Amino acid sequence: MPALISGLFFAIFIMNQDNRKNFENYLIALQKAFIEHAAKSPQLDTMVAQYTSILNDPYTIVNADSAIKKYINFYNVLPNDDVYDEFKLIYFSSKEITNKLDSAGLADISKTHQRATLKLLEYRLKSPYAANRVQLTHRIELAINHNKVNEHFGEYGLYILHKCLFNAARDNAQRKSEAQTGTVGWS
Amino acid sequence: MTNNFDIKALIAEQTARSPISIKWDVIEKIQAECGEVATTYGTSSLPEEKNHVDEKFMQALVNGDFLTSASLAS
Repeated sequence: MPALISGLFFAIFIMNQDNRKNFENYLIALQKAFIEHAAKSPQLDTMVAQYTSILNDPYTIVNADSAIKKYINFYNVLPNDDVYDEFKLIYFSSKEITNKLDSAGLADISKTHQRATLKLLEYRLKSPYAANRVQLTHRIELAINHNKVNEHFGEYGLYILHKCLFNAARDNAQRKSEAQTGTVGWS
Repeated sequence: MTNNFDIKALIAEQTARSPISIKWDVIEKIQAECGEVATTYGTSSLPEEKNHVDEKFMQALVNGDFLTSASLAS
């Protein structure tokens, strides 16, 4: 159990089998989205091979996992159940992959990867609350095209934006449901 | 625009050629050697997790259902 000691949280972390599977499933989906976006490239085979080598690099998950912990610790996030929700899995893994691709000078693959990530984030917003925003997606895509994602959204901006949109839509749906069933004020 | 059938066939071909293979034993070793993550608020992490991810969403990801939605590449 987490314990509050002098304003700091200390706890034991173990990534369980479910979370490992989730990481793996996400990377598989990301690879598919990447191939879809790179489908028309004459260098598709090379792009997919280079991209997959980054996905399979053990440090991708190690560093993504570290980034999630750093975010949670810095902002004193206290999740009810688990740290690995869909948005954190998608965003923090993708950010690490982007960093690796940019460091390797693979700019085209990096942009394709970021578009694939955006598609998965948008897809998560669509279901089940239809919280996606076409204009938002378009503007983020413009930022990707012009290499402005970091400058415009910073370290956590894209994550917080998508997470808040989703949570707001979920809360609205919950309030509507409570209003319809007449449970408002009784829970 | 490439249709969904072609995309799915292309994806099957490419993923067979370049499969995702996560080396969890290596990841465990790295994490054990590096220890816990040092952060602004100290060395810490979180409790043993329950699975918090939406199962339906994850299954849709695995199935590639998102590929049938409008493609940004189109």
